Amino acid sequence: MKQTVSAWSLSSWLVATALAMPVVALAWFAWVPESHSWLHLKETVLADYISHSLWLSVGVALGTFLIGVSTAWLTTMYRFPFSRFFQWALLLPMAMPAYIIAFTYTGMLDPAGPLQFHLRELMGWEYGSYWFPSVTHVGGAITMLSLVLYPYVYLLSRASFLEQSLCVLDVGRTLGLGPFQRFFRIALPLARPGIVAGVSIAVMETLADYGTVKYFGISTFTTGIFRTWFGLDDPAGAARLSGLLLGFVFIALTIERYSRSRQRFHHTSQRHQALTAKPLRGLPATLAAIACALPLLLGFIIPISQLGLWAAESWHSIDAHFLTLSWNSLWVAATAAVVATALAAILVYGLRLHPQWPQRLAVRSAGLGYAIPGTVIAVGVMIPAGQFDHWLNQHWPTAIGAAPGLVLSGTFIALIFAYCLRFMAVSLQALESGMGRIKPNIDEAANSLGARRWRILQALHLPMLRGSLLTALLLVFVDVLKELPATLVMRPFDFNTLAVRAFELASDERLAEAALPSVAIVLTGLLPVLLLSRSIARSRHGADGKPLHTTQNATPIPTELDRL
Amino acid sequence: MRRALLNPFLALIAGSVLLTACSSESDTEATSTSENSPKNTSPAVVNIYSQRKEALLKPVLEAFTQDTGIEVNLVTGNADALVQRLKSEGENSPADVLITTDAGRLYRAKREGVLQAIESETLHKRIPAHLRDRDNQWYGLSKRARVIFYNKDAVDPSEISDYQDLANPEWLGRICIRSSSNIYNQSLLASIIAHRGHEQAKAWAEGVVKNLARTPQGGDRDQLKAAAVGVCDIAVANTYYYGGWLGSDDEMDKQYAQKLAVLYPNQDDGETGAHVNVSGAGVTRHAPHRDAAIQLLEYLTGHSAQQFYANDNYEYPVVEGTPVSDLVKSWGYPFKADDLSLNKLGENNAEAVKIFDQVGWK
Amino acid sequence: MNVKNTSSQLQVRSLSVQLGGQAILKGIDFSLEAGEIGCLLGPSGCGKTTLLRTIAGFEAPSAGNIQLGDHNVSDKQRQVPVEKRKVGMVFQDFALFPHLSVAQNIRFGLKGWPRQQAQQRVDELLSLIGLASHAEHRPHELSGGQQQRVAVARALAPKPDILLLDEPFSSMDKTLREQLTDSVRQIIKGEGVTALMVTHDQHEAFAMADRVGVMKAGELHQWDTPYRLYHQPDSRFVAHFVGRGTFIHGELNASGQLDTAIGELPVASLPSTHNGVFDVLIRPDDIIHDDQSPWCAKVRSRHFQGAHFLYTLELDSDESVLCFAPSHHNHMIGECIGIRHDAKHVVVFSR
Repeated sequence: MKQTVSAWSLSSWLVATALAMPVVALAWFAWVPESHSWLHLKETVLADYISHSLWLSVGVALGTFLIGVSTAWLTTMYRFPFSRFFQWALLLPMAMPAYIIAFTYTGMLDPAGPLQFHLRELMGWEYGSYWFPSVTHVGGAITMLSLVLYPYVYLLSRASFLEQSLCVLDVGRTLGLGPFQRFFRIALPLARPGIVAGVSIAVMETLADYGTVKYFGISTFTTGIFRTWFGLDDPAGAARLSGLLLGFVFIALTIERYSRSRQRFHHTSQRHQALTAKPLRGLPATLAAIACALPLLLGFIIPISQLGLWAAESWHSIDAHFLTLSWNSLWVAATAAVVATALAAILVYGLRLHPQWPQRLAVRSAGLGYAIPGTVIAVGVMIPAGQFDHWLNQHWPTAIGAAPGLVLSGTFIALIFAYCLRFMAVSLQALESGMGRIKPNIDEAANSLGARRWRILQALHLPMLRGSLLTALLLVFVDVLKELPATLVMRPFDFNTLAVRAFELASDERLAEAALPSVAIVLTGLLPVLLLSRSIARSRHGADGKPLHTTQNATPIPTELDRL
Repeated sequence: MRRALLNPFLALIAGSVLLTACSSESDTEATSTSENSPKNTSPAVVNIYSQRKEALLKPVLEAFTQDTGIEVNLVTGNADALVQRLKSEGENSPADVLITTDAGRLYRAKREGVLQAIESETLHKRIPAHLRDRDNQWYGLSKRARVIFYNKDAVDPSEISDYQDLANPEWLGRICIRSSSNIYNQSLLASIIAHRGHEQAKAWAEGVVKNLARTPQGGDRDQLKAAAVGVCDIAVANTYYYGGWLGSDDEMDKQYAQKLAVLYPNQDDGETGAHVNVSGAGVTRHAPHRDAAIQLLEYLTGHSAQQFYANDNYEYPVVEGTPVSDLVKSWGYPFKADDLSLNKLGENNAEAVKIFDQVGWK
Repeated sequence: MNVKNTSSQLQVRSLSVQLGGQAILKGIDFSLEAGEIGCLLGPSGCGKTTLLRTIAGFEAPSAGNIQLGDHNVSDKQRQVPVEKRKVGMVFQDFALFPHLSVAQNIRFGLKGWPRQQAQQRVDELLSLIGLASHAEHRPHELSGGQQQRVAVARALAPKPDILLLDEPFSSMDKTLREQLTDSVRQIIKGEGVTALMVTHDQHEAFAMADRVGVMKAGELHQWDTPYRLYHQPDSRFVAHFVGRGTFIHGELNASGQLDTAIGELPVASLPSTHNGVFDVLIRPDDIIHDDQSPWCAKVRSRHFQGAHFLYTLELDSDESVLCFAPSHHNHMIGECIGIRHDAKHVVVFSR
């Protein structure tokens, strides 16, 4: 038994060290030389970077909270026209990369876009004589990001609402609380950990966003990092900005941690009575349907229709090459998802075996990459990878044969590793919360029945974590599919993906041609999202009128899915 | 049923770990066989890191392979990141050629030590001195001019002639130009710093910011559209975007293009000429296929490649005497181009960014 | 591995446990004969669960040893890991594996058994716990009591040397608890396995156990049969914790009996050192309500318990005693009622 334990902790340490290496490399690379423009940054744009990032974060936090929580509450508690449909459809915008929705809306609403063009023709107006919405400002960026990020909040808060026992809400009723008060004073506080977890994911995605803010010309930490590094030629200054950004992230993570540790307290083994949704009629039903339809319409249906229209123009460009692109995107995303999930499983299991601070620190730091822009991650991975290759070739014994050249740099190993680093937080969170719900006495029970570590892992933990593992796989898959900057820089020769193609065309301002790969990304990303929502629909026992036995421990498996 | 689902799942995990192991192995294998080990200079292949997008490069590269039999492998991406990649790969790098779309990046690549000097009679003869590195580490391949576009309904061409005019108060709220994060704006200001010094450059940038019709957003083409629609009267952009637009068969785009006219700034005697930047290339320091790389560079300055730049991407050839398409001619060619050494653009880049920061050019 | 030196199935010797630098258990000594059911009783935080977990092997002792059957499973030299100890454990919340069926849960510990034997064992246990028809159900489809029995069967399946139960009935309501203690006792006795249970409920302990240990603050105060615990407690704490009762003042008189506020009482045995003044333990069943008695006590409070009243009575000496009276003896608070003692021999503690 001792041996297996040390093997586990060794491997979890290896993973953690490998994941920490790029961050260390970045820190060393950038902190050692003096930043020559730090004073300049402080005097001029730093305040802008901070305030814009802050505004964006606050705005997206608020936006995703409002959209995510309200739709989750409505679809969980009430029945209204299309409510079953909304239950899963509300997740769809998740498949839409932020930069794609940004350029789609910009293209649509642009004063020179077809919409305004035809409006002017039709009405005989002049530009400036009428008001028209625009998105290319901080508020627009908040809207764009909120529209594609709210599904995280929806997913997690809905899971929390579903977990809440009807009894608790009934208590509220007996105490004379109306439906709104029950929501604000009972359901909302109870679901807080799930909501905070969702919002912090959205905020981290926002902080790491580059495409949208760059396109809208908003100076944030991410654009600032690039500008400082490459424009001001000051990597040290860029690293300090990254450090500040990580500070933000760390705060977000700490809040998230804190609320999750309280979560254990919330869901002790109480008798559970599933919620039954209440049918709405008349005006309330219509309002509820509209409230759910709006985010779906704005976050998915309108942009995908516009993209479809554009794509129809460039339909002819589908060829074998395009299929290669799709295949590349698919397999690289699938591989990264599996590897990231496996690594996360090693880390999380190591933490379960040894819940001490070094393990905890390892897991925490491994999750930081989520908020680091892809290019920064890429550079962070390239430095140690290059060092390793250099070392390997230097010390290659001539007896074996010619030196192997680049083993890591510019290969799929480094690329997949960069993806893992970037999205480790997602798989970690999914697995950690899943693992957290397997009580330690399950291990002890198995232990007392003669089972050892390996058997406990494969006979109990893995099957009980099946839902969480699937969630982790799907989420990382969708994220990698959308990933751009790291792919651009680290990919091997002649390796293109849909995202690369979409970006190259879009950044060349060829929106119509960019639409085709964009639609392909969205459609490919749709599949896992649908899988995810299907499993959520299944987890909703009470809703189907099936009686749910009151149980005292062990939630049935499917609910594992709806948790990140 | 649950068990049945579980096992494939486990197999998937195990399989994928193997898969990554295998695929990575076959990768390295592929790399070493296709190149006969990176150190071996085989003429059969040349590897490119390029900032220039694949679509704008592929036809020329395909022609190159056809003409010479040399295979071309390509990675495109952010130039700065590609330079970092070259640096971290060091002497093991498989890359032979670095292609960028501006001189500043080439300047920085040279300073980072990832390029090597190339002695080529052909290149020296074809490319004017101010469009290549003084130490022969990089060479310009096509010129791109950053000029002024005006809405014909709102502006009389006599009102404006130089970049300096953009800072005049009469243009208050009438100018569109993109974010200062864009390298072409940085190069433009860098050239102004080189010609007129820091103070005047800063005053100019300050003046332009005051005159902006809206906070900088979008790309060059967005500025042109804005000027065409009437958001502003004047836009600053590179000419090839306009070219793509004029050549478009979209009715709306055509209508917009016709609203605009091109104005090459600073054309008068004694003036500096319109600001030009280049897309260019250099051979990497540890290029495993140096000869093939030089061959490629020479090919890119050859007649057909130069014509491709001019005709298909509406850029300007660097080689004197290369004919350009009628479309390019239609908005003015030849014109007086700034013959400032492009090295200056790289040298002044950081200073330009600082000025932008100070004057609040987003 | 030491040779067995007694017939005990479980022997715990001078066992001490420290957790996080804090002494949780101090010098615990007791043994359990084969086939006996033992019970550790005590208020929460007394260390009884830690003791159980130490015997199971989840915690390592700082001193002392544990012998299970023929084997020394824990001493200075070595700690046999949990999975090799052959202990069956039933957890407070059962810890059933939610993704496995009832039969699969029970079968979990039978890895390495021949297929047929394992199946036979599972069937045997399923019928023993009366859930043969639920073999393919999942835990969440069962009621609390059914889950409980599955947990017991799962722990029993590999024929452990000892069955350990950690507060197995704490999450049930009272009626269910009473039914279950009975059926679980029958299951355990039917298997003939030695068992040790932890509880804070003395009724449960008395209903289940052949031997009960009373614990407080990490020490085992008394390890005895339920009868002796009740009638001959070794310490004031045990006397107080087990059963109801009060202490009254008593003085040794010349005839070797005790003078108290309710008359002269016979004493079983006296502490070795004493000064003739004692606290005398009076159980409610030591006092009989008798209207004819010359001794009278004032009713201070009363609890109607269906078949009888439990009266708290105030003596002239301001001391109080408890007394059961048939429920038709309905007296009001403040009323004076006649009592007499029916103590054969009382337990005393030195002052």
